[in-house]
Amino acid sequence: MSYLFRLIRNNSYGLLAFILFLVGYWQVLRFNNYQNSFYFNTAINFTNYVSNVKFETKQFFNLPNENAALVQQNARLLVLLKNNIAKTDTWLNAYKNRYEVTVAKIVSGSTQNQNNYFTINRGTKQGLYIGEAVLGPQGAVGIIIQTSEYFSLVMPLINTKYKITPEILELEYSNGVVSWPGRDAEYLELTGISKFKPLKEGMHLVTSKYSKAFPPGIPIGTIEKISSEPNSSFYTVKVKTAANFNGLNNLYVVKHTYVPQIDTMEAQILMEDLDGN
Amino acid sequence: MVIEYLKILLGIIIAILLQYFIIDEINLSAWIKPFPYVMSLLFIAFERNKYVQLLFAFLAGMTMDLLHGTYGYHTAACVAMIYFKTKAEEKILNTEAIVLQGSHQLTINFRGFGFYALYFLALIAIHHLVFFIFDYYKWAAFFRISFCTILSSLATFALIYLIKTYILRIRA
Repeated sequence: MSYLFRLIRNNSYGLLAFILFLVGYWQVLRFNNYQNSFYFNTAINFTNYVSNVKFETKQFFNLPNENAALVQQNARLLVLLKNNIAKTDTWLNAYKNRYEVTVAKIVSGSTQNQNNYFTINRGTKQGLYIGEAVLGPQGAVGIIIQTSEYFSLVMPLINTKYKITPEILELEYSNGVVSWPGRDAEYLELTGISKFKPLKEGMHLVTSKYSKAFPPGIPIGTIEKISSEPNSSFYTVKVKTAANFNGLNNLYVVKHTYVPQIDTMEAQILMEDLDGN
Repeated sequence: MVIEYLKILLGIIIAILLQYFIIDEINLSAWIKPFPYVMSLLFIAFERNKYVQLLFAFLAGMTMDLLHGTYGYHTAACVAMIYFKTKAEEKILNTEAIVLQGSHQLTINFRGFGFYALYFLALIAIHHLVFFIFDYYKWAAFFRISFCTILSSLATFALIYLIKTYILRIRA
């Protein structure tokens, strides 16, 4: 401390000059609009540049993981393609092409809150609408809940408000509800599966064929732990998410082109039912 | 001693008023803005306390800024100039020899006109450089700032030399 005081005392003249110069500079920035806005614009540009470099560096080092995820996705798509080729029925072919995919990038988002959201860099200008499914390279991510011209808000599976009915791939059984208890971004919870079902750890949950938004067979997660209350007739299942929510970058927004037709038809039937009652 | 400082203060006030009422009314060119008021700071005697010189520079700069609406430009410029003036007096000038010659400021007799001009031009250029950097305040104006600094420094030095030699009739 005494060294510090000695240092200040020995350089007091330079220090005073520096302080007085800073007072002058402060006046320049405080009372002159042009200098003020130039200073803050430059500062903001510099901050943006640094965070961009940081983001790109992080992305670069994450490339092996991204690559591995894409390889997995490719393999899955190849299997699907092989199983889905219909050679004779042209209508069926058209129906098989009912999904349109838009590639998007996450601009901002959170995985730490109870109700997490992601913002992606695609909006109505790119043909995105509310209710469309969002997939990651490893599996289902969420659903679009809000759109603007160039951005959309995604409600991911790791949002306590989000619920989805899965299909248990090995049992070919669609029931129950997958939701997020709000604790760990790597684990979901499956409820509403009857104890009579031969559920086992390691079974895979995928999107159901009854879902309008999601294409069927998209991985949601893997059953990690099965537990049950003695008085309940349902299992409580801990599910490991297929998508790595902490490392997401590129996303795919899936548009089901027949949804407007289906919605109109369903609305018509609903109206007829109401009229009948 | 107090009388000496009051004289310096009076000199600064007169120089600022002359700058404001006369020199500022002369429009030489967009590139040339002479500020001969700095002579009231540059010719403060060696013996005067350097902290007080710094405070006088700060006050003179702030007064100029208040008069011209250039908040901070002259304040920072004057402080920078006086800081380098006192440092130059310590490191470059043999002040004792000058005092023995019977002067309290740098004169031509010390090392000739070349050294005299270079010394004051350098200090004036520091003031003008800081002033024009804050005035233009953009990277793209680098050459404009340089030109303005060089031309205005020459004009300021010429005016100071003329004022000292022919109006105040003091041997430079």
